[in-house]
Amino acid sequence: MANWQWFHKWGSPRWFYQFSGRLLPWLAIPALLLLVGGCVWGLAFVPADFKQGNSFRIIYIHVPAAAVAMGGYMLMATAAAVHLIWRMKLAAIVMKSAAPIGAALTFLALLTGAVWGKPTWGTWWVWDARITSVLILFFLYLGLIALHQAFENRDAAARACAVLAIVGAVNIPIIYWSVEWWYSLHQPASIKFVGESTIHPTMLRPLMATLSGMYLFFGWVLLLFVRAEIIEREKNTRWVQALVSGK
Amino acid sequence: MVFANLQQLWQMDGHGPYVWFSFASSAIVLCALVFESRRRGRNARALAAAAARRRQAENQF
Repeated sequence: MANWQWFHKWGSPRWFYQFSGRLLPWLAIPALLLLVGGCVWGLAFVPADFKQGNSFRIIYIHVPAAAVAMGGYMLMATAAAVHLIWRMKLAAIVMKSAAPIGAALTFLALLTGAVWGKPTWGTWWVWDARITSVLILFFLYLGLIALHQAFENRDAAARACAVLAIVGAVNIPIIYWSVEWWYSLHQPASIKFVGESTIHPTMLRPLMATLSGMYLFFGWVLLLFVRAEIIEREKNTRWVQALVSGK
Repeated sequence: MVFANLQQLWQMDGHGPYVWFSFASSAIVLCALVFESRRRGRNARALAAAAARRRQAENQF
């Protein structure tokens, strides 16, 4: 018989609070080192791109923000499905907590993309498929936040948000493949899961540093949001009251 | 460093304003996320502490 004990543990906010507390420094410290180190590396120690010049350095913040915004949405949609299927409270908390972080990173991707577009394409904004689908991702995140706040009943809010999060997940492959499916000012993906990347290794290494740093940063901040939400929801339980009283 | 001096690093052949604005705004947004998460944590703990005090007071009477 399969041992499902590990799975049930994830249903306990108390267990998760204690477990995540041990994870925090292992996420925060590497995240900050990789982000700061990768940015300094990319800003000052990588040669300029032969076509774009120095404006290409925006890649070291734009691509990680966009990639993690999409990854964060997939995590949120997965948590939404887990909540709908197993009624797991923790999954609803993760879903709710991921939304503001994802919204902030999507905003960052749109902002840095616009700033990068001006010297590269000669315009701040074009309604091409990639940018428009990322804008839809931003509105999906904002919609989830607004929808959650619109309900007084927490369970009803979680169910409605879970449905929206799952339906909205269809936008993620559209964002990813938009540059292949439609005419776009964006170039096709330079980093490939299958096949050789088309970005030079000297430019790729700092990008991998900031990309992994951004994923760790997302994990760190998500845990901070989730832990705050757990305390708020469980404030009347004995374990939380013992925790805040220092007993 | 690929730039001869700090002045060149700052100007980046005219792309400096775009590049530095992008990194500065990113730093602000990421810091804001950390501060917001900590603020929520502090607020939640304050609420829980108030609930604990209420329960203690109820138990005394």
